[in-house]
Amino acid sequence: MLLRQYGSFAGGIDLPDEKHSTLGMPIEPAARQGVLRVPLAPCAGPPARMLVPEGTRVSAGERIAAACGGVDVYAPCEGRIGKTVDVQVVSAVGVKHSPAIELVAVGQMAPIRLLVPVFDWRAASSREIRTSLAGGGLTTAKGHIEPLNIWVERGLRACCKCIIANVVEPQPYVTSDHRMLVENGAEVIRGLMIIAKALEVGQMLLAVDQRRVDQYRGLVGAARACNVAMVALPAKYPAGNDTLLVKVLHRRETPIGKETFDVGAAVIDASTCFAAYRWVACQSPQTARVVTVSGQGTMPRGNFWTPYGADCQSMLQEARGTMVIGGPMAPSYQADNAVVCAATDAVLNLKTPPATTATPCIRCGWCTDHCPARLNVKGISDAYELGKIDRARRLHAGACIECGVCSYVCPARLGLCERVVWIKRLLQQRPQQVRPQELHPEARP
Amino acid sequence: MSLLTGQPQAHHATQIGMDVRGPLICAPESIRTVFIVTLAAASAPLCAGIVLFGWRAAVVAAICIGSCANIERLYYRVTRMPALMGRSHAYLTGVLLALTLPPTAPWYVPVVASAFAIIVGKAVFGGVGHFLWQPALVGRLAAAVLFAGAMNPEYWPVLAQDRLLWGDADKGRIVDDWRKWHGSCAPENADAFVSRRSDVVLSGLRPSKASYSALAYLPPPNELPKAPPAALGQLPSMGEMLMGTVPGNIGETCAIVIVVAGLYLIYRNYLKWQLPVAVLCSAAAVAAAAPVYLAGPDDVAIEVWWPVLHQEGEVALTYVMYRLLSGGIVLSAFFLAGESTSRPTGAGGQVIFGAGIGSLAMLLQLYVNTPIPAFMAVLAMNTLTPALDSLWRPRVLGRRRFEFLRRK
Repeated sequence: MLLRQYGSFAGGIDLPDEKHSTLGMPIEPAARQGVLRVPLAPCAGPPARMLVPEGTRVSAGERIAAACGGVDVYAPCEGRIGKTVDVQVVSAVGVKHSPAIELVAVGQMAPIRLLVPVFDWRAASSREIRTSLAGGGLTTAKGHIEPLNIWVERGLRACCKCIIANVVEPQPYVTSDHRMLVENGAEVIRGLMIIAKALEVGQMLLAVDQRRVDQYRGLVGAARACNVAMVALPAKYPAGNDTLLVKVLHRRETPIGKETFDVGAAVIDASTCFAAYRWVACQSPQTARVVTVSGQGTMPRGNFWTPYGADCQSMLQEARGTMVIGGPMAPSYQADNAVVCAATDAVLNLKTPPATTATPCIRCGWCTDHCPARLNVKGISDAYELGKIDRARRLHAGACIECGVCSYVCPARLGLCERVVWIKRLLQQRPQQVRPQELHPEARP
Repeated sequence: MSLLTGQPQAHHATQIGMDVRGPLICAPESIRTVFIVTLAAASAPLCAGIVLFGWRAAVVAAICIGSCANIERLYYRVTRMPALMGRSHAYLTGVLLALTLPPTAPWYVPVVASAFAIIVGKAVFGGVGHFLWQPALVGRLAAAVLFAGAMNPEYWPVLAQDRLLWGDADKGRIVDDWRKWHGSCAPENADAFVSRRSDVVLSGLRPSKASYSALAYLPPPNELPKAPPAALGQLPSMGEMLMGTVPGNIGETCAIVIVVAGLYLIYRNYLKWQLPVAVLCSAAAVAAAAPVYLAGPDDVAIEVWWPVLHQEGEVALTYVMYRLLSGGIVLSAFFLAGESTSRPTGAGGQVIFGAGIGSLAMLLQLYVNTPIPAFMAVLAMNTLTPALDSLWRPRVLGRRRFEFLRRK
């Protein structure tokens, strides 16, 4: 048996899975949207420079903007270039405003086809692969979105020992990486090997969910051919978090305020691996990703091969409720005109929770019991209320992994996760100059 | 309003440039569920008490619950504060208070105890979630102090086997050397057997010179028991101790029901198993080790440490079990100490808390003449809850063990 079982971590919860409705649905091309708004600055850095004037007709895969510190932008499908507008790009760490090109789509979105490799990446050196990764609009998809080549450079500088492809998908409803691995698993594994070559690491791991092991049997051969070890993780909620994955698989805990590179492990996701293979081996740029559309209530569900720049709200059609981009457990952000980008793994329609009356904390202790980071969640929440930023820092609010378990289990329905994430962001952005009034208007300095 | 709701306000979002929303799905259990499930679990020993002690126990419980709910309603109306949690916690407090009262208490005792529980125990601290001492025990302590005579009679009733549930606990006949409840018939013109409490009987093994001279009458050495079995012979059998057909407060005697209801709370995650285990283990350890006084050769009283080691195994086990099952230690371990607000939150803190309760309760039972040793121990340890909470914290992810001790 190639699927080894590893240990677990403290805390965590058993979540209702809720994936059954889209778990078996194959990836289909998304319904045609009349206008795509392709973001020019999907990641950190200035927006890309336009290469084609307004009104030009472009074909699918044609480069329409050149990177100036960010990534190149390619046309996802055939269409005509319109004017420049402003859109929002939602990632796990926040909302970012970005200029975008309107692309009046003419063609339909093509399904994912098997491409013929044109570049012998197995014989290529690490440096050649890194040069190649700089193009193609390749970005990472988890956490901060950043150009893949910059991510690789940082990993090289940190001298990583192992690379982990994170296909655990602990969040309810989200099945996009799972479908990607089931249908295009061999390409994902080759992409993982390409990124590992660029990072010059020997040990490659593919972490999957224990409940779905049966559906990945077909990958065992490809994984063995590429020397990738497949690891099944137990089904406990934040098992797919990068920090916890490294703790469980690599036996290293990421220090507070650092990232997994600092303990010698690189964590990447399936869609980035897939895009890296398609670009490096087949010269096909990353212009689309698989997005799960699901949720509560009646609505079209499925896993859709969606071009970048598609409007998130119109993917839900007329579903009523609250739109959530990403999983329902992690803290989400309000965005009115969000478009699909590399980080959009799911667009969900959830019931708006009823406005609950305020209830006091009864000190049940469940937030601390279930917190995977073992934080004193209520203490940090009290520090937020009192405006005591130093107390929050002493309680290590920066160690929060933003899984949302504390808010989920809280019987008093306190917004614990929001508060802790708030303080964490505040400490990250301006560690020195936080005034108490910024935390709470009634707080005294 | 964000002090209570905790929703980040709009102007925060503009300052840091984002608007965070927490998860939109949440676990089905709310505070109300927690209280109602705890209430259901606590009514199991109450039902057992009503069966064992007759309709008088039911009346005491009804007065407790009714007056707790009404006094809380009255308090919030008079002070014009919003009642945040509904009345589920007042009902829970009423049931827990009823568990700790004797079945023969006159009607005004539960009323006054409820008033103390709700107003002194809970409302002056700010209501649910803010109190320091378990409210029901505050009420019980007030009753024990104010009505010392009524709350600490020398003889306590148990209904005869053919008068269960409908008998009148006040109509009893004193039986001093009575041991077999099982198969008994009610005496003439009475429904109940009346005897001394098992812990009082056991204090025939009166320990410690200090407690003799200070608190109690010192019997001459020839009246001291020869060995523990002499006193154990006056007690009901072990099965009856477990079933609860022994004199005591309404809810504290039936150990089997208390343990089953407590295991349900543990299964629902409302109670950590470490707390009752720590209470019972530490109480057993103290009972096994603490000295008792026995009559030695030539009728001289001698102090015996580790009394369990001086007897054969079965007698020693029986002695420890009697100590554990009398005086409300089991009820405290599973229900009163586990009240979510007045105990430490972490498992480590709860172990220290439970060990303190168990050993203190056993020491009070052994050496101090008090009717409510375990309840007083719980109140005493509740006082230390904030200190224990900050003393014990799990290691935060990404920090080394004992990092706070290292030089920066």
